[in-house]
Amino acid sequence: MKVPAPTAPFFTVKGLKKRYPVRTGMLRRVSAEVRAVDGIDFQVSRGRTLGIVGESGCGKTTTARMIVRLEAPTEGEIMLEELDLLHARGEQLRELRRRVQMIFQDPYSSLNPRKTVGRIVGEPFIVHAVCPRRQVRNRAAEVLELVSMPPDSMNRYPHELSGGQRQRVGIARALALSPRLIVCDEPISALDVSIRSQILNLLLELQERLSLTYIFIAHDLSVVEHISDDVAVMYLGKIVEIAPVGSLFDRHLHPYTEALLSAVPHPDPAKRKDRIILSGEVPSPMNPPSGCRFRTRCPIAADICAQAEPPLKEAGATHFVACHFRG
Amino acid sequence: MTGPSPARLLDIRGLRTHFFTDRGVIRAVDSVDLWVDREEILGVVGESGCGKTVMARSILRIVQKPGRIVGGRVELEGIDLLGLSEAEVRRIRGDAVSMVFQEPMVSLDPVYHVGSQIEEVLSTHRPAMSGRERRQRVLQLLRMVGIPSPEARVNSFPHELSGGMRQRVMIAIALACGNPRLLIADEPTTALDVTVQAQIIRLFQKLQRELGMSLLMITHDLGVISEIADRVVVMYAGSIVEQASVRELFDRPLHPYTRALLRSIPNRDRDPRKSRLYSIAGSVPNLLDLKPGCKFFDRCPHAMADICLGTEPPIEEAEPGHLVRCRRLRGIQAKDSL
Repeated sequence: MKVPAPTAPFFTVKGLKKRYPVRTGMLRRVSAEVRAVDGIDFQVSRGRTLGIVGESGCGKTTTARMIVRLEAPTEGEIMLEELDLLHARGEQLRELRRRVQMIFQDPYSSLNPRKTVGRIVGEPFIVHAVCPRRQVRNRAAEVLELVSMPPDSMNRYPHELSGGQRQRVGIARALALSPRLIVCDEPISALDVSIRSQILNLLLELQERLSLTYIFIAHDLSVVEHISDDVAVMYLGKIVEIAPVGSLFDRHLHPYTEALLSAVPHPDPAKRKDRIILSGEVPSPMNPPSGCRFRTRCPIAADICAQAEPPLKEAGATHFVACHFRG
Repeated sequence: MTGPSPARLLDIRGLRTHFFTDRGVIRAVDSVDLWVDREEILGVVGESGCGKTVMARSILRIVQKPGRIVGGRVELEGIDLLGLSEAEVRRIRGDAVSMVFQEPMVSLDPVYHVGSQIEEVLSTHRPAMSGRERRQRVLQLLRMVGIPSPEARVNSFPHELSGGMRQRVMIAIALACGNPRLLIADEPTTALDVTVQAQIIRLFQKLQRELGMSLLMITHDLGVISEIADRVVVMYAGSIVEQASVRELFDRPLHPYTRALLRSIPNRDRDPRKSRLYSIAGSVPNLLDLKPGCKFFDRCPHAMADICLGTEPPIEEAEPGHLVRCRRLRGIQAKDSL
């Protein structure tokens, strides 16, 4: 709808919303709702990476889970090429599940401790019946090779692996069915610092080799800047700014983006600077502020911000921002 | 290294804390020497399992079983804490030396108001205080750590507070006695969002200045360290491998581990977008089967078996105030200057 992509849309999200009812009292009546994701739009072109950043409660993980259909959206549209993610049934749905995969944050809890690596990575082949049973082991071995796991890891259990190896297994499982789109939800933040760049390099390499499209969710902005082509900044269920990565990091417009970038500590003491320290914390998504949701913490908020919600408007080539005063 | 000086608040010598497990002895803290000067912020950085938390817990003698302090000295203003009786240490804990933990939700008691949890520290350490004085002090503390409308917040339960507010309450508890000499903070901002993390870092800096205390900040986040520390200690597999002033460490890291760690973090001025990042081979070693010698040997690009294996390299002063544990240092520096 809004964000034009340089090539034909490969993956499109329109007006996506997720509301959770809050039930209270003896009759468990719905007394309020949490607007976890409140109408977001974006597009991703094939082979590119959209980074999504924002603080806890901004809706980035809910968005990820809706894309892989772990959550049903309340409203909106998600399209992968010609396939409608939300209305797909039967064979179409199975096709979608093959095309869209997810890499989880915590490789400790997202792998079944009772299964060997070979079975974990082989399972998608069995579930989707893409090859005869007797070939499953070979196929699993091929995928493990893609992520540089040694062949003898097939018979290992997750607890025998290091954190980095476990995340490789998680990536192998996601790759098993040759997906087009992979949603990476904080794929390196649970890993040791000395392991992180190995996994980032692997993701970059796989993207090139297999022309994968990534939606990369992370709170580490230097990592997002390195791996993304475009970046969306979310705050309380809304996209407040979305732009090509260079434009977002160098010419960001939204006061929240500015504060977020300014808050990140750099591993360079020479860059200790006067940071923009936001007061307060993210308000509850159950009762978001009227008008602009960021106004309660915004250094430039004025009367209009309480009355009208700023629309996401184009402020430069493919650079969109939702602020009454910027752009 | 210089001898003890009046500037020195905490002096740790040869500290060894081992864990006696069924599968063998884990030398979690393997002969650590470290000091903290008065009013100094010392950053301790390392990955999971490097011993930084166990080292900090050893200072307060709160190492959990099957861990045990097996040797060394931990001197606070000249008094060896390891030689004190349990009753004597208890008087120091939470008073002269306090600790703030990573996960405030686990460290706070969910069934008590935050106010009464702060009061508890006061009734333990300041039994002479009246109830009225205690309540006044609690309000003052909540104000000091930046909790808005403290009169209302006193009666909140931990679950009613956000992560940042809970961490502020933990800091208030740690400082309740009013005379902290040393505050140990173990990954105090790791569970927080970046904008809240920035607030808490500011709070630590403000309190350190106002109370004239020293701060021992433990983290895996090199960004946080560079932001707050005066001096930095880098730990790897139970040993200190490098220590220097914060500027020196980030400008001229010398140990191959520190150098590799800093190079592996994406840096916009150095690494073009989507380029392959420098990465460290292998993973953090298993402390149960370490080869004798340098602990970074398996992952080090400069390792040479005849030089690096056998005994652990000593930590030596490479530049004034810059200590490094590496026998290959001269060779690496010679190669760098080519």
